Amino acid sequence: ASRVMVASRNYADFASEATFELKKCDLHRLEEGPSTTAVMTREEGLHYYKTMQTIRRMELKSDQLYKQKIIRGFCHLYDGQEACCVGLEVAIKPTDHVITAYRAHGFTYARGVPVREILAELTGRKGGCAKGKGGSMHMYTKNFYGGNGIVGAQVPLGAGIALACKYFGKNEICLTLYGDGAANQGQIFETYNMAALWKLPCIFICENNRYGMGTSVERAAASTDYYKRGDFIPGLRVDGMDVLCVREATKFAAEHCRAGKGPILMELQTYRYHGHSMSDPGISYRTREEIQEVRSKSDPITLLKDRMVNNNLASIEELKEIDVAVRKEIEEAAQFATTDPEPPLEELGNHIYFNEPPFEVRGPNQWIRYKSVS
Amino acid sequence: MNLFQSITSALDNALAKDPTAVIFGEDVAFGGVFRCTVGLRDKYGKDRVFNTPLCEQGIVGFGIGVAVAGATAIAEIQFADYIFPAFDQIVNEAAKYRYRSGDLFNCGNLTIRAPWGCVGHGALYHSQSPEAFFAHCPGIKIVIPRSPLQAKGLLLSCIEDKNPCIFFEPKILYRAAVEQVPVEPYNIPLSQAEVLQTGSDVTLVAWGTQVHVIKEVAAMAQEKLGVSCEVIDLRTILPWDSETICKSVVKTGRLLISHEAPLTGGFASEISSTVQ
Repeated sequence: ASRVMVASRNYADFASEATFELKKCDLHRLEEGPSTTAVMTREEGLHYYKTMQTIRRMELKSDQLYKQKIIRGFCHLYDGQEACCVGLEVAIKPTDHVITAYRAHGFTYARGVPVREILAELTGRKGGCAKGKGGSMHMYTKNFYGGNGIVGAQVPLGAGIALACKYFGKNEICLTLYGDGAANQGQIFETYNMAALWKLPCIFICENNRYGMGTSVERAAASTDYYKRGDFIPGLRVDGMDVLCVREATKFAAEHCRAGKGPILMELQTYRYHGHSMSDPGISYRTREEIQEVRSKSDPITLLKDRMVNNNLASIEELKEIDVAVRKEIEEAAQFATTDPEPPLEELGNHIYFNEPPFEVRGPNQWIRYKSVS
Repeated sequence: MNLFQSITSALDNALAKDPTAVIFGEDVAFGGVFRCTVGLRDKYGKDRVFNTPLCEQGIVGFGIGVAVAGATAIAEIQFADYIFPAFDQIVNEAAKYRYRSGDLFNCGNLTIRAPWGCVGHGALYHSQSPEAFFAHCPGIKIVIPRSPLQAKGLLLSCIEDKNPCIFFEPKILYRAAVEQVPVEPYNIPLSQAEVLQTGSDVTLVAWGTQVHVIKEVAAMAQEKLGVSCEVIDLRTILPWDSETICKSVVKTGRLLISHEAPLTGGFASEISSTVQ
């Protein structure tokens, strides 16, 4: 539910829901695709708006903290792609499973980790969701398996999770995400084969943000129709900047999997405003004009805002109030993330193995020992 | 030149001398994420310096093919941490090619370069030192330079060597290490350790970035403890120069090996057990 701070407003002023026309998805080996109309209620709209705005501000705050050297290491930001993780999350259940690669802050939030824990994890403090030991690329929570550094390695894992879903018979599915760069990794194709062979309830999702680090998709892939790359796996290409389009497509795909028809592939066409990571300015392989154009014409949050205001689902003031509340939440979270203490040194050796009796781990030399407890 | 410039110079020499030499890997065309290949595409053309998609196993497998067919292949793996999808290709295909074909075919023309070692902010997947995994495999050579001057000579030797070589470049030194490096090609022999400083009390062995650390240690030991250290840079991990190390330990009676890779099963265990 949305936590909108509206004091004295007459709710009867707004429509309770509106219907929207969506872009048709390109289909591969599918007779019909997801619905091209979507109904969005006021509550849903406000929820999507707040979630996307929170992710956007959280990523911008991370950018700021990184430049202040409070966040170190590697940081891959998700701004521009918010509609993907929000659209996916609202179309599945909390008991479904999600696994993605390293551009994972948005998913971590969507899957239920509070902003303060995400930012504290980025700053490496013990209040972080991985106790400060994972960092940007390794964030996890219930039914969210990260947060994975090696490109493409998470896809076979996702198929494995899907197998477990099928085995346990609880009607759960697994969303396995990867990017346009990873789409050329061999293990992805091995996974397609296994998933199709055993009809695993796995939705493969390629987040195509047009650049694999610094390489544009045309220069990396013999076929940029990523939704067709699954060959024998049915696929659909979705406008990843439209949260409703993503939602409807995901609902469609989830039904497909839950009906036992096997895996399905979704390509979300999206865009990231930042470079690949914080060390990449993001303009050596694309023009500022291109980034500006996407920002002005296809920004997911602006798209949603315009839809809501134009269809009388919310007012500009109301959305501004949400912005203010979000900013406050992010500030408080950043405060927490910068002041929380780092994990204690005693924890350095923990959780290497699963073991009952604690054992000793050698440090950088023979005479430093860390106790490993789990 | 700094380390990445000396690598560029070595590659420049190699492509100039050998018309069949090609460089490929992820993002090498614009110069590479560490600028090791800057300017080479403009100079030698896009059919000799080209990008591959994101597929390490494919890159190495492809490199083996190029080498077997007779061209000189210089493959770049973007970080040593990503070399594992290619592990099968290196260990099962590249290393054993000459042996299993009875010397009919070989992929000696293959050299794989990868940034290696800790860099401070690399964490799990941008800091690894996997030399020990490969040391267990006969048929390949592993080389790790400590400085720009060493890097250029060793890299050119690897490229010319008739065996598949893996050349790990300490990424923390790419910009940090600067030396006078000749512009013309020159070779430094492989499988020869270098004694940087003679001493009589203890032998210190390291490779890559750690060499600089043990040099400092040797200086500190001399100053504070009056201990005379013999400092050796192993340079080639496989096949390693056991003679130099053993001769030194016979002289000093004590050996200390330092490396960034994990202790258990790290290459120091091979050296220390041989010396024992």
